[in-house]
Amino acid sequence: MKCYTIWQNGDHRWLAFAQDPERPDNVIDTNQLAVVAGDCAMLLDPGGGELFPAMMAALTQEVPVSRIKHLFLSHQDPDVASALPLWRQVCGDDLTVHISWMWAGFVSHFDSHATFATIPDAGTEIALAPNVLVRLLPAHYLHSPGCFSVYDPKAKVLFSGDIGAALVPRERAGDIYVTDFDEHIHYMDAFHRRWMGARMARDKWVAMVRRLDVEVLAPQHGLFFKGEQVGRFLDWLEALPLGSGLEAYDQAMAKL
Amino acid sequence: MPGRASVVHVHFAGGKYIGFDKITYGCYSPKKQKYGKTVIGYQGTVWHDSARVHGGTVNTLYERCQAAYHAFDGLPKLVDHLRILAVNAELASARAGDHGRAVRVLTQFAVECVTRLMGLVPELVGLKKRTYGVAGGILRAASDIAKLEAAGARMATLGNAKESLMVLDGAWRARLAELAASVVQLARTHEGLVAIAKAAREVMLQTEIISANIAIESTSAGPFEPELRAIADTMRGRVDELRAMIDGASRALRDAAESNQALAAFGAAGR
Repeated sequence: MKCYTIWQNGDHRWLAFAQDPERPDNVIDTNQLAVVAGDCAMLLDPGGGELFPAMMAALTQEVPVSRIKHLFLSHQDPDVASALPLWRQVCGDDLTVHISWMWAGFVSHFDSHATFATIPDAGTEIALAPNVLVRLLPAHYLHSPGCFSVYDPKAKVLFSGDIGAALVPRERAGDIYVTDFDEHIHYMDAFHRRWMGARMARDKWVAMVRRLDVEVLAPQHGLFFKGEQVGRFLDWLEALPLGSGLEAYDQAMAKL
Repeated sequence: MPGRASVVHVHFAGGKYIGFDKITYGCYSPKKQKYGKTVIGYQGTVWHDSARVHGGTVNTLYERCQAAYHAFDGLPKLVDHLRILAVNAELASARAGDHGRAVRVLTQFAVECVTRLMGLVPELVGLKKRTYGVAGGILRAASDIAKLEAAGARMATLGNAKESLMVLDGAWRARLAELAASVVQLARTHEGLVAIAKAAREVMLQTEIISANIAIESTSAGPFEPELRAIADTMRGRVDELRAMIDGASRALRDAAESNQALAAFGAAGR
């Protein structure tokens, strides 16, 4: 698994772990991020159980596992949270697992012994170091009804979960950043049309993100948007018709 | 496909990880060799390798537990058939009057056998539920151990993560200890099932004797001989079904005991 340093200032770093060459084809590709601030590290969407060995090996090249104090789960999906029991086994007792209040009981099916710091709907802030604070911002209904993005005002990095996700073929995934936005649309268009079903939520999320100073927008799948590509992505998302699965209702009703 | 490979020798002292040596081979044969806790594969190295070695045992154990319970799947139906048969025997012996007096006594014993067999059914259901719960836990633990070992193998190969590797080793040992505890629980449910199989065999032998005696008594039942003989023959048929059931379960239980012992050794590897 490759490790990319997205941003660094002293001991405050944003790391992305992605593009595992040994990932089986039937397991969806995911990006795992880590925010490191001094002796404290926070893993963002640490990934599914199948990915744990590769992720653990790659992460510990950069950060000793004893420094992981926070696990953030943007939502409840297995590619986000199913490795939770494994991370809890290797991390210390002072580990805090953050997830929407909606999902604590559901994610317990992955790990019945886990306890959670539940995130209220309006989001919250987490201090990783005295001068490093990350904001958990609502991303509800995009696609999960209890979903959060993570913003670091110092690094100007926004981890957007499934928003901006793309299913990029292995042979196309050279760099971690989008270089040709028009071509990249092909890899994220169908995903967003189908997975994102709430136009009002999309509009509110885009409006919220436009108020932030975002240099890098990092989704959980595919490539990251940097600089002007962030704006292009928001413009594209804002204009996209959502809820392609709704057509299936008409097809089913026509047969009734 | 031979290729470049590294061998990592992991060293432990007093149960604690103290370090490892890494040796890289330019060309290595796919043939695998064992070196204590480490195994060399042609694509690289592994850290602990117990999950791969014991993975088959875990799956086999689950299959054998299923097979043991599956063998008893027809027990409730068989008990019902025996119960109806006992009622029929009672009615036939009453119709036979003096000719059926001995059969009437034997029928009482048949009813007792059926009652004892019926008592085993809820016990079996409870035990089945417990076994699947424990076996599910063992499967989960084995899966976790495999992933921890895979992570360790990668970290040992990459190097530069001694502290985290020690932490991982602690997690690995803890999970193995949990697995060992689950194996003990499974051994208990296994003993419970062995006891049920033993009780069912006793009932089977008693019922077999009863059916043989009804057959003998039928010879002196005059005009009622065909009816009583038919009951004895049907009862013997059910006894044969029960015997096949118990034999199947006993085979599966013997096999499960072997898997259980192998898994107990797997769990003990963490100590």
